Amino acid sequence: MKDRYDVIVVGAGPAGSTAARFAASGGASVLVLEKDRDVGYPVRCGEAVSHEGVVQFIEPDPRWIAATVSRFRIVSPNGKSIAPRLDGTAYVLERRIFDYELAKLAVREGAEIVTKAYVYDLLRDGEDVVGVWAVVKDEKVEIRSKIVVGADGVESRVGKWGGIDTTTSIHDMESCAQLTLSGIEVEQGILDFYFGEHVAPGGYVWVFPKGKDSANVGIGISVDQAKEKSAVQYLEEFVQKKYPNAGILTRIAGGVPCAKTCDKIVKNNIVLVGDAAHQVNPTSGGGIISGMIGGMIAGQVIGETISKSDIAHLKEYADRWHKRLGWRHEVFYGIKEAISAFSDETLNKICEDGLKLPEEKRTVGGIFRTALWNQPSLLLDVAKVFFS
Amino acid sequence: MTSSPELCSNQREEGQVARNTPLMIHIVPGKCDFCGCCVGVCPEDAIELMEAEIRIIDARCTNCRKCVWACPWEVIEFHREGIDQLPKVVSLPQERTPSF
Ligand SMILES: Cc1cc2nc3c(=O)[nH]c(=O)nc-3n(C[C@H](O)[C@H](O)[C@H](O)COP(=O)(O)OP(=O)(O)OC[C@H]3O[C@@H](n4cnc5c(N)ncnc54)[C@H](O)[C@@H]3O)c2cc1C
Ligand code: SF4
Ligand code: SF4
Repeated sequence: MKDRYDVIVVGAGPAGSTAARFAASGGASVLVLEKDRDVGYPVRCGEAVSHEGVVQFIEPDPRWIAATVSRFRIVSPNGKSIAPRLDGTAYVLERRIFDYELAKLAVREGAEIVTKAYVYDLLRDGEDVVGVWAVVKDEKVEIRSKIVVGADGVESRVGKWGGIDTTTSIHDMESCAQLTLSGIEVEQGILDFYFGEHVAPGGYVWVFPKGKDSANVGIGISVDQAKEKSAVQYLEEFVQKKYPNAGILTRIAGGVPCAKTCDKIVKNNIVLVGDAAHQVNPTSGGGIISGMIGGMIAGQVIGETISKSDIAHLKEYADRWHKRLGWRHEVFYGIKEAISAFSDETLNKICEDGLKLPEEKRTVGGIFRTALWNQPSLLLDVAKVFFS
Repeated sequence: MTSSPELCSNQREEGQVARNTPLMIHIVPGKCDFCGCCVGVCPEDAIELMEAEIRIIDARCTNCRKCVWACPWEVIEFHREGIDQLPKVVSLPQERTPSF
């Protein structure tokens, strides 16, 4: 590790590694600092991504694909379910391997990565941010850089230190818990989503297959809608009912900022990507691919900025993000707000009306068009929501 | 060790709460999963979260309780009477080891 780089990336999740990869390939010298001892671990994620999303960045590899799926099923509060087709294929990943591969791609382009390196503040020269303070191998060190990228996930603080308010409101924060279960009966080709006030207020329970007999069974609930109980209590009740004898291989907590993109994702020489920038799809809570898209755009703009020696060029990143995905996330945010306001009766009705459709019309769009005829503005985008 | 009649953990009881003294937000030792959900909702940047250590920064905390409600794991508690007698720094007895 040197004491000076063009760019320091805080956090080696999918967004940070991708930003590092593209900044390095654009000619910048890049250091990635990760507080955990291990890239990609612990895995706080349901691990579902679309094929189209992944292939933009990396060739699908069976080493990090636990299951391939082609349908998803919505289970309504009264237990009736409907399983529309997906437009394409989706995967359930092994993120501990996937995140490693993304980090390796960054290293291959020339980025350096250091784990067990906790960034605790920005380094300043007067008002200017000139790098970061970090604890590396139990020692406090200052490392200088022209640009600091906050890729520090849901717990992001880099933006706050740099004067960008990245606090997630309790309305938008999904409080999550997940168990990876084994020894259970689980259909491999399908992603399950359970909805309902008593199942997961303001969110859903997911069951994503992870190979024979195994699945990620998780929950996200809206912090301000869930009244008395915590996410882990809701989840344990669900699992107790559905999979009482399962083996529990992993047990994790997590949070997902299901919000619109932060108002600012660039300020002077500070850049935010991924969860830190609230680049999660607000309807589905999926943030792997969208965070990588954010990271890629940021990395490209950083490469250009360094070769032009013009920090003002960083603003391009915000513009390109909004053109590529930011505007869609605003639409998805509206859809999330509408869905989370549905009562259990409405959810049941959507499912029942959908089941009346002939099989070939049971696409996501078909179902919602039939059921929500009185809210036509929402219908068409719903089909794209879960896997964009 | 943490049960107390004043404990209002995870309840949406809003209202005025005195600021800062004594600290009313308490992290139950040994329970945290270090997931960061609480840090994401803290409006005061009053939570320090490392690989296996979490700490409330007393001087910044306003006792707003958003972290209490957000925590998926029921790790953070609110004590109306303050918690000066309870430990504030919590680390794991040993570091996580990767499982592969
Ligand atoms: C329970 C759960 C289920 C999910 N399911 C899905 C899903 O099925 N599909 C999907 O697409 N998305 C899912 N998501 C969302 C997805 O996990 C995130 O959007 C994605 O991981 C964001 O990537 P990131 O790189 O922005 O952040 P992260 O992956 O969170 O990486 C941030 C990194 O920064 C490090 N860091 C933080 N602070 C510091 C610091 N001060 N110094 C050094 N390093 C630091 C962290 O240790 C971490 O490694 C889920 C999330 C949760 C919680
Ligand atoms: S009570 Fe409020 S200010 Fe204090 S740590 Fe929790 S969220 Fe932050
Ligand atoms: S939300 Fe709860 S489990 Fe997660 S880091 Fe905060 S205190 Fe720990």
